Amino acid sequence: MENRLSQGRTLLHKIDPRIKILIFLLFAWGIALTSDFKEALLFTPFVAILLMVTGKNVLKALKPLLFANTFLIFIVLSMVFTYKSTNMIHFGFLSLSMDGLKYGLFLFLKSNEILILMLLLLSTSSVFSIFHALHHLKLPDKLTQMLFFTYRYIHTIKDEYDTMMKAVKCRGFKPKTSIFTYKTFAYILGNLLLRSYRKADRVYKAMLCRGFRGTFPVYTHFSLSIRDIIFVVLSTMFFLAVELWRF
Amino acid sequence: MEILKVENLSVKIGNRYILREVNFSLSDGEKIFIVGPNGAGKTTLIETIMGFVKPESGSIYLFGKKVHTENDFYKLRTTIGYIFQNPDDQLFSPTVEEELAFGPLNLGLNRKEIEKRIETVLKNLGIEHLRKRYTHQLSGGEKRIVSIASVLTMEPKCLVMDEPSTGLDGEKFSYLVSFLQNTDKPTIVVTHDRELIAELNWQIYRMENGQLIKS
Repeated sequence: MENRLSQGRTLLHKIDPRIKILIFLLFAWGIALTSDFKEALLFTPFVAILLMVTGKNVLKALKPLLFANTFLIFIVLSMVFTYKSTNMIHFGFLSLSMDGLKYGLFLFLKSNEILILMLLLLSTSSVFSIFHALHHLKLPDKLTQMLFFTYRYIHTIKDEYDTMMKAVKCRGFKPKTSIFTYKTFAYILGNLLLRSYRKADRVYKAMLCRGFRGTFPVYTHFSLSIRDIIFVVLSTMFFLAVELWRF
Repeated sequence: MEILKVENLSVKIGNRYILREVNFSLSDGEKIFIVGPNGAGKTTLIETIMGFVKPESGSIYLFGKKVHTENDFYKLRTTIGYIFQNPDDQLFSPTVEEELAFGPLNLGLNRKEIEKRIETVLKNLGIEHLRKRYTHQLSGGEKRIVSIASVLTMEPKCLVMDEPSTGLDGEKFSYLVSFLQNTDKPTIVVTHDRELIAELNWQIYRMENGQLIKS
């Protein structure tokens, strides 16, 4: 249920999740607003420093990038072949747009920078810590509770689904393109909805039995350390330097 | 002193009476079993006492005071420690520590008092090592013990346990028996587990056709 990267002892693991969320949002905003390749490149030293800090875990941290990049590569390729510009190279019936390639790579760089920052800053905290940090960053209570419970119980719902799938397979069910298959899946989904509702009802009753009155109290709290403050100051200085250089 | 009293409690769902004129009381030092087959209305009785099922008639009294408003039931729920049949329904916080703190935080206790309660309960139940664990990663038996612990940190006046022995192996079953024998809190255990009943020499109430009969 927890992402493996959240278990570690690097500097990034020790930084307060509230700080990591804010720094991520700041840099993601800055990177998203860059208008050309050179500007986007200015943020790479910061990404590189964070990658170095991650140390041995760097490959594990970047693994999800492979998945995201398979989609991005298709976008770059489609831009190379479909972007109309005066600067074209022709290979028989194929026309490659150099401007398309430039924009494609720019998009690729921007997306990768934001994704790497997200992986390094957010995945190095447990999901529950991130929700807890969002609560402290004044995200509406109801929203954080919804996020928390969705994450807390999504695997329970998946387990229920797996159990039901095993039950139908044990009775010879093989999914096909037929009304019977659609009906079976409709029954499974209906049951899943009903079970989720019942589960939610029981959990709510359990919360009421322990004095719940609409606010989800939290026992453990974050505290800012010197390390967090240094991280904020250095990151913000870097960000401001890049922004000043841009303008 | 009489903690809980149920008087002429009837519950009707659709056209069927689940409970019919149920009467019983629980006083200091008392420990009772409510037994009966599946579907006899045992869980409905507990859920009605806790205010989750609206009765057709009858009254519930907590320390001699009739419970009828939502505020009265809030008081009742924080006075009676209800341990659910399925511990998975009861454990919703990310860690054991947060789970144990949930009730006391809702009661508005200060951090020092909460810490003291958590430490005491963890020590008394011998589960200090589970403190920082994720609740969803606990074994079935550990979940059962943590669900009991999560209620004990509220320091309830009495305990109500619904089928507490379900899914426990031999070691955890012995642990439960030992806990039930040693707890100083008045306790109601709803069960149909003959082994558990045989282990404890408690007063037995039998649920039959929606009625509660002392045996």
